[in-house]
Amino acid sequence: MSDKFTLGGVEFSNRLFTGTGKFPDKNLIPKMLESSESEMITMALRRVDLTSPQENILNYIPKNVVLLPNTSGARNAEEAVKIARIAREAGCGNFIKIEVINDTKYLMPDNEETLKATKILAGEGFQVLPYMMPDLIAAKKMQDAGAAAIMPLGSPIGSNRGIETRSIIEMLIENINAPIIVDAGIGRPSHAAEAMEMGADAVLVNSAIALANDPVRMGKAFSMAVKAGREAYLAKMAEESKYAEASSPLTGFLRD
Amino acid sequence: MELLVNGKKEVLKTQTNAKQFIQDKNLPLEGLVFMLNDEIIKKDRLNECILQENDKVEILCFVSGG
Repeated sequence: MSDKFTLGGVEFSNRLFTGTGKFPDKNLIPKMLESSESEMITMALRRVDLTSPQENILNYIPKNVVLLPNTSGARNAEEAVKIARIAREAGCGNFIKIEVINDTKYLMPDNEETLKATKILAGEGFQVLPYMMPDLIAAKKMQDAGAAAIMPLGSPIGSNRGIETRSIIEMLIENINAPIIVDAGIGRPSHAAEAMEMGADAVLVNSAIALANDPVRMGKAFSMAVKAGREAYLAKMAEESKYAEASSPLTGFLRD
Repeated sequence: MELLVNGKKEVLKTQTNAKQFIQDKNLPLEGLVFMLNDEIIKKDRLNECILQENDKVEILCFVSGG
């Protein structure tokens, strides 16, 4: 039984998206992509350090993995739009993760500027994935502005605290038609499974994989968790109850 | 002539094209995004692109990020 996820015209068979940030050794990235079977990965655009040039991260990403450049560094919509246009011109394809962050303490995204950038870029044919602070009204506006999916955060970037925004993400899953991809703060495979059990369409995990002791193995763990959570969601879990409900029939014969 | 390169002033002693400029800095062409006055110059046009006084150059690349 196929359960593929179509996003921006591309069919994904794996609902775990990953990121290239924070790996202690970039050579782990292609190995992690192989172990996790993740089919989409993020990267950033920066000025070359002319005194000590960085290596091209694209060298570490196999050709069959979809590139998801982010607009990190952008402090407002105008900067985000500029980065997106450059990324596309540079050959990264049509997907763009809008990341507009002014807050250095919590790295909270600016929903207002993110919405502005979404409108402009969707109008230019980008497949826009706005990274946002979960908020039903903002999510509706981003959906109406043409976002290909909505990416609400679970908890602050790199905090590994899991789905702290659970109740709001539940609202989005129930009321937003666009796919919901939980991005940021997922720290354990069980968090990823939780997001998928709730009905999220996919998750994006970077720090928790890159900073694990064994990122390649952790990538596999996350992939399994995402599959488990998705299967559970599709199987429709049994309800919770306040009181016990016996699993074995009550016996009468011991008391006769 | 004076240029702005990645936000910093730089002096060029001789006239040069974008491709030579990149090579003179020992940068590999592959993986770079070269922008001149806010416009991306595609790789096949770098050698035609002559740098002028007060040009704004941005040399970018894709790096790791979440």
